[in-house]
Amino acid sequence: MNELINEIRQGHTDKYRLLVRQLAPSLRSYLAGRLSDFHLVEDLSQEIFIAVFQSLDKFDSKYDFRSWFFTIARNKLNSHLRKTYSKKNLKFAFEEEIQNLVAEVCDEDPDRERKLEHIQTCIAKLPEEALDIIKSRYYTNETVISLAERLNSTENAISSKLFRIRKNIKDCLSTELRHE
Amino acid sequence: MNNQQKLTIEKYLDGELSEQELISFLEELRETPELVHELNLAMEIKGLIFTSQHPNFDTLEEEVLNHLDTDTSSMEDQIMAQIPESKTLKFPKWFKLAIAAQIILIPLLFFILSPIQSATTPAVLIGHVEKVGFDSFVLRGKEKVNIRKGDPLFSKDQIYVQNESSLGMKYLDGSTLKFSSQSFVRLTDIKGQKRVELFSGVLDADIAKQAPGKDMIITTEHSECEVIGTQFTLSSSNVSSLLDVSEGAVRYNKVKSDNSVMVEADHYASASPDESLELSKSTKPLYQSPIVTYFTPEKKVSIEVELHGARSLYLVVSNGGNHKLHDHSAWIDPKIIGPAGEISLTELPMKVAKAGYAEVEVNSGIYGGPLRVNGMDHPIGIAAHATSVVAWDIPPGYNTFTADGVILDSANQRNNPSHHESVQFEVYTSIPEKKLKRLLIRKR
Repeated sequence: MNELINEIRQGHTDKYRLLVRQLAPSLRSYLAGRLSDFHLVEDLSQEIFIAVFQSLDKFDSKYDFRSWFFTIARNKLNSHLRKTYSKKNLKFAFEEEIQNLVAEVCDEDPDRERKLEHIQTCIAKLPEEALDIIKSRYYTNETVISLAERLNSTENAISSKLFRIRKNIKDCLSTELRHE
Repeated sequence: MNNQQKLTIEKYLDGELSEQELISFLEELRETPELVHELNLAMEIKGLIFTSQHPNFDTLEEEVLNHLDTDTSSMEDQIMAQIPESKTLKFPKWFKLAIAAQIILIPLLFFILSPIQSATTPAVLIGHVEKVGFDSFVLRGKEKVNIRKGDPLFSKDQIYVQNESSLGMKYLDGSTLKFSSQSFVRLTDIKGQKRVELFSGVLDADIAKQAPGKDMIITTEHSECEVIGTQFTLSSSNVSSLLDVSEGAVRYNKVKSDNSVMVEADHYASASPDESLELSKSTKPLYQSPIVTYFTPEKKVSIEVELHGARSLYLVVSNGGNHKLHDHSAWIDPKIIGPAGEISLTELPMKVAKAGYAEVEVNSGIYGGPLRVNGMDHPIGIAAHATSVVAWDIPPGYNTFTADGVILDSANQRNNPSHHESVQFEVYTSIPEKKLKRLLIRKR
């Protein structure tokens, strides 16, 4: 990747397309995990790629490009949150702290692209009830409160089911990656 | 991972947590790495599923590349190309002079007038930061400002004190407020009347006499204090609020009700949604040690207390005024002695064991490390992060309590003099209800 970055820095702007192609799935996946409005994911992805391009000269090739890239992504996400909330609402400050804490504790996942290739296989393996919940929750972005009402269940029961489903998907992804 | 934590993660992802709930969630995340990993997994899977459903990369590529291609100079050329060529008009000399005079005078007038205009809406300076731990910040409008000692504070500033940090501030009239770690507060000044909104955390106040009709108002989720001039501590969380007055008096009102009490020195009052406003007299300790710090010789105080036939024993370690920073303390070799003989309290079942942070540990240090003091390990003792309360029922035949109250080496592993670990050891024979209530507020 460093070679590609050097070429872009030397003026081969068209090569930036390759970098976008390589990192776009991971970036969109990162943002979609953190934003509820999926239209924003597209706008912010674009904004982040442009900001990264404009800062490429500042990148020190001694460091890992991917980590540097996702630090810019996190900063952009945080400044988006700041702009979104009103002056009296302090949620953005705590959202920012939470995102920073997650970044401190959990390393950026280098297997995100590989996982993307298997996620649909793992979803297809879920039992029917779990599949329905996953589709409502993640395809149509239905809230837990709404899911609980619609399925005549409780919020606790739905969130416990989601917890178990996530564990199943995580285990399935690990197996699929091992068998690649 | 309990059901409540699982639900909180989902509600966080749905953006349905209130400010208070977000604070609690942040605190819980800080204390539970497992919860951080689960949140990360939830976000990861949500992101993976979305991206696999919307593999729309070509559009993004094109949009980014298009933007990079459109540089400013070409944009300028395009704009200039669209502007019709201006016609050359001839004006008389007097007209040109009048225009030139306007060009000079208008900016000049603007410069002269603008300081007067800006003076009508200045940020109101209310005081300064006197002391601050690491990483605390102020939200000023939408700006997040890291603060240092001596920095000014303005009306409408919102302060967030980080975990394991603290902040002290001084108003222009000399009144002081100290905020403990994880406090979240908004300061305002309305025509000379000070207002403080304590959303969570603990504040210690020493308030100078306020002007007539300008009582300082401090609010929490459950209560409102009217302060004329006094010393007190106010603790608040989403569960309840507790006011502890050490000097003077404070009018304490429960919000959304007519309940109101005057809390005087050595009294405290608590307010919560499900209980009425309670006024109580502070329980006096049977024994209170001097303040012990990391730099006290041997880092210890020897304690021997006559229990006067009491059947309960409560051992309390209070923070010595530094808001609990690294206050790793222990009761070394705690025992009760009397005609029935001698028995170590570590062998008796505890009826209360509450610590300000982490857990109460028996025969080991905080987080299970050694009970190490000045490099020496002790086999018997009870360790806890201040403020802590531990209690036992005393069997008949024992009438004296002895122990060494110590600061553990783990309090300051870098031997940093700026870490002012300080505690006080207290012994009670009746329930120190105020200390417990305050602990429960912090350990919600």
